Amino acid sequence: MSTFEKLRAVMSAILQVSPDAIHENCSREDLDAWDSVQHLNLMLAVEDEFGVSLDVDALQSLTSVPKLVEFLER
Amino acid sequence: MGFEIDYKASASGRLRYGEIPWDTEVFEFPVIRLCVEGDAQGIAAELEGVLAVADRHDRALIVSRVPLEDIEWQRALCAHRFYPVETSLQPYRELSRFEPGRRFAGLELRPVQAGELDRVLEIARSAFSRGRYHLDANVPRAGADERYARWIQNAVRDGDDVLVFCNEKSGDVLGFYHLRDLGEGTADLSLAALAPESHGLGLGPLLYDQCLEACVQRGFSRVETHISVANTAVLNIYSGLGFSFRSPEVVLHRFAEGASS
Repeated sequence: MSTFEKLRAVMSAILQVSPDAIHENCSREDLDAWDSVQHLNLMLAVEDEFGVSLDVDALQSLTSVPKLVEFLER
Repeated sequence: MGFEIDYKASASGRLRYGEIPWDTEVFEFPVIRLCVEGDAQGIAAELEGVLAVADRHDRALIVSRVPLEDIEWQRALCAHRFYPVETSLQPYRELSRFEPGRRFAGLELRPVQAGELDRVLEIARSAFSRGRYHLDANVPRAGADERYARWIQNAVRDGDDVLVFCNEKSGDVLGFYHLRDLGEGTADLSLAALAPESHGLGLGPLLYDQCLEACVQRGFSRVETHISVANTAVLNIYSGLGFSFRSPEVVLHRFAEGASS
């Protein structure tokens, strides 16, 4: 499973949207469900599922699928 | 100046009124709080007597809060040119079972420092758009914005607890809050804000969660606040943090005769 596919599964579960709604260039503006509270929940889930630690800079900058994928593949 | 109002009472004691000094200072016309108690039956003459005091001014604003279900008082006030501006709620949370949420590295919460006050005031001027003065088209917007900055200036001057929420690495101030001690173990979360550019990034829930933790550390067992029902973003945060909601109130405004005629 690619990073994007795994991320899409996490996002779909947290944001309660169909995986089909999450594409590789998706950003917060594209998904109504990706609001402030859910952004926080998503960041917590990313920490858990990918075994990474995020700091406040990451919280503020990881606002799209491309940015998340790039960060997770670094 | 503090946050105290010197009230006078009407003959029956059902009306108490006093100038709100910090709002008068900001708007540059008298802003008067009118508190109502008991039964509204037969209050008209007494109310007119109180309103006559305000109507001596060319421009004066009277503000009153009435329980949402108290239709009689709302009717009595609206019959005297009061109009509803907003509905507010009083969220509260007992802290005995509070467990802090997970934290992200790089976020720091600490008392505001002198060099940060300008930034905090800038946030205070720009972060609020749903306060009751913002929701009243008759109130100058600039004054409504400035009110929150003065609020923080006064709080800092009076030695109140004003804390900033910072990016530890860059030192950027992302938000702030003002806590007051109401006594008997209760904290009033008087004012809290995030910089507009930090909205929508999950920082709001973290700010409020850390605020609750700070209340516990200060020995408070309960926290209370007020919020407009228009502020749905923060209502959702309060709900997620286990707040309960009570005391829905209608806020009514009335300008002196000279102002709106």
